[in-house]
Amino acid sequence: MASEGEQTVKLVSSDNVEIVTERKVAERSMLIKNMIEDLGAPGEEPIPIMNVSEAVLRKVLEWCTHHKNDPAPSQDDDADSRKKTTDIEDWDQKFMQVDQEMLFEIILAANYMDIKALLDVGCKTVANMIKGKSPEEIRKTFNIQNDFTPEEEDQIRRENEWAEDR
Amino acid sequence: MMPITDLPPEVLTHISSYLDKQNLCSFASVNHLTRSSAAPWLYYKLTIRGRDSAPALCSILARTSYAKHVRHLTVGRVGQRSDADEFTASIPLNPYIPDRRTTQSVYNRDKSWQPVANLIQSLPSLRHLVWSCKQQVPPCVVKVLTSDKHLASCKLHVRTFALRSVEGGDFDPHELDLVRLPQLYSIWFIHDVMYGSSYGSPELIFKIIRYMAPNLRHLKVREGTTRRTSVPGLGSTLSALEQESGHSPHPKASLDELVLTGDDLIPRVRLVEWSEHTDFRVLGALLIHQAMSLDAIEWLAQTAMPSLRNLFIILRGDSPNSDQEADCSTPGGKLLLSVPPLRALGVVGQLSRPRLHDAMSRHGSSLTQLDLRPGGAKKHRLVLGPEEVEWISRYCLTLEILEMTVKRSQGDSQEVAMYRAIGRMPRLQTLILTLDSSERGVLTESLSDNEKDLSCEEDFDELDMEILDWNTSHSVPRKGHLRKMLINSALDETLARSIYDTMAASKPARGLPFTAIYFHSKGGGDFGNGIPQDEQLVFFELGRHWRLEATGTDGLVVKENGTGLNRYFEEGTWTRSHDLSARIEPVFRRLWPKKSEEGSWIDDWHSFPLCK
Repeated sequence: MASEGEQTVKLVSSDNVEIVTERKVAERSMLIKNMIEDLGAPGEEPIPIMNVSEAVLRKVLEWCTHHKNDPAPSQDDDADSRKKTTDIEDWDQKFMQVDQEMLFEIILAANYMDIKALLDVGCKTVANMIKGKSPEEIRKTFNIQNDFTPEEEDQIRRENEWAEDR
Repeated sequence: MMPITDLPPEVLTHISSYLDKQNLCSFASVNHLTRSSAAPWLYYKLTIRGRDSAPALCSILARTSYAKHVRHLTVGRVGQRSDADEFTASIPLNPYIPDRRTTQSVYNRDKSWQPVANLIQSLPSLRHLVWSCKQQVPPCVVKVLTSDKHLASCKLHVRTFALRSVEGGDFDPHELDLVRLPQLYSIWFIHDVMYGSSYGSPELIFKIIRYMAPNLRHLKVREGTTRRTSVPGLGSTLSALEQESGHSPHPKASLDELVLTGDDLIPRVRLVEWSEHTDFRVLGALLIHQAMSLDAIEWLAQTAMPSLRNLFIILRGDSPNSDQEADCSTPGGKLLLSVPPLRALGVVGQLSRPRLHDAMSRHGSSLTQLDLRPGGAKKHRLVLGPEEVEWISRYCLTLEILEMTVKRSQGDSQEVAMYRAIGRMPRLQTLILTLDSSERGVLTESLSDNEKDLSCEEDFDELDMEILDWNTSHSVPRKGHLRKMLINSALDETLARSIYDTMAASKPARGLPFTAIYFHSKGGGDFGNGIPQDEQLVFFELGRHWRLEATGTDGLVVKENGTGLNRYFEEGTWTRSHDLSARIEPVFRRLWPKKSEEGSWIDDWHSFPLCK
């Protein structure tokens, strides 16, 4: 019998492309991990990844392959506490050098496939793009429409004064 | 193209969690969606400076439905830097001294605090209430904490703790209610009669933690020089309370964190006293920002503290300025081996090389924070050179924050090896590095009092060999020693960047990058006997302080922390035309010749490059 590390699984993307990958790699996704446990016989039945296209799924699996031996995330993370650092290790930084469309697709996929560490890296990347910019610059960067009235803008300025830095 | 606003709101909130206040405010001002996504973090932690601002905040919260996001509310002043740093400031400067108003005035003013009580009541998710006002926590606030069910799990932190009524020997009912609040979780207490906090004594604090405040876990005490041991008339009141509490014989308190700070040496008996009132076996953090007597350190080393994860100690001996000072290194080393593997460790003062090695091999693998700074006289002083830094690098693989003082050696290969070793620590992100250029003979630990003549270095030429006229009594430095000292002190932006680059280049492949590095220079001109007045300004000018921060988008940002001599020019202490003294000039000019006849020496110096 093959050891768990050498087992493979079949994934099917939203555009119906079958991708075969190592089980250990695929199980970085809690969604897939739970599905495999539910299905019982891994490797035979293809697993549909409904919301993720082939291009994005391949990119996500590239990340999972690089991180397949990472230790399991610690459970004692206080969900309440604000994250401090936006540090990203070098490999991840290069991995995230993609266009905005792909970046958001990766984040959506990580969210859907429940890959917390990838979601963190994606969100940190976006946070780093926001840092140091004025509201107007943020709108330009991400192509967002300003839907505030001048009165609302004034109100927001006053509201923001209450926040305290961590 | 898919816009960012198509991401689910919870993902936008996740992104917001990585932004600091300023960036969060900008993000929240972009449009309605970003605003509501950023709100949970924008409103996470709020501060009102005084009671007058409470109604305005109340009305915003009522209008926006953001009240549910508020987890943390501070009432009163906010520290400029870290609050904890300010509390350890000396007593006259301490911003946490409570006022001296009477109990009666607390009642009289209660009504004016009602808006603050209303605000607190309107926050359904409040987890931490920090009281940082000079005034006593008013009865109306205690009342909402007592009566509102949703505030039952809110922790109360009182940073200006004082009981006004005990001065009269009798507890006021309101103050009694306050210390008995189940929410009372942490208090900061200044014990000094001269500066306002005459209310209370150690005796009172001990009674409070044992018999009254059931959930008090954190205690920070600042002791001034004018303490009192007991409050007249208090004894009978306290024993009445003890009987009333009905728990007698009561177990000890179970503090999680005990912070002691003050100017005097802590004797053994003081620590023993603390251990009689709170159980050291459950103590998680013991931070003693005060020198301890030798037998106090020895006593701590023999005390079981199996839950300890955070320890800060000063090993300075009985007479901080004398060469005859006691050796704290041996008992200090014993103490460090007696405690379980720690997550955070701070040692200031003496620690010999073998003791340091033992400590690193015991705690290295569990540490995330380490603070190592030398202090005290030269004999047992903790000095970090290439070999010691290498130990730290090898043992402390999970270290994230490191503060330490290392010796410079003109940027030679040894010094560079030290920076590379620092860079190799995979998780290290914050570094506060003090570069020491003093020449106290501290590098030769075995230096005996008889070896007053510092050995001359091999590479000294005739000029270097000349005796240096400096106000020293213990050592006879040569001009070559001053030359090396000037090289070691010259810390300009080029050198700061170069050290940073050396460290960053050594980061292992999967390591986390540095976020902030602080460079300080110290010890310039110090041959063990202070720095002559006339030469001080040269070392002020050379020994710059730098802050290097890696930002997401702009790469490395380099800022000067304090601005060399400019500050003194502005104050008028010195002028730019101040000439080099005759003592320093020949050595200085050998390193840095005049660029122009009219120019000041200030424009002539630069750092020397690191060895490649």
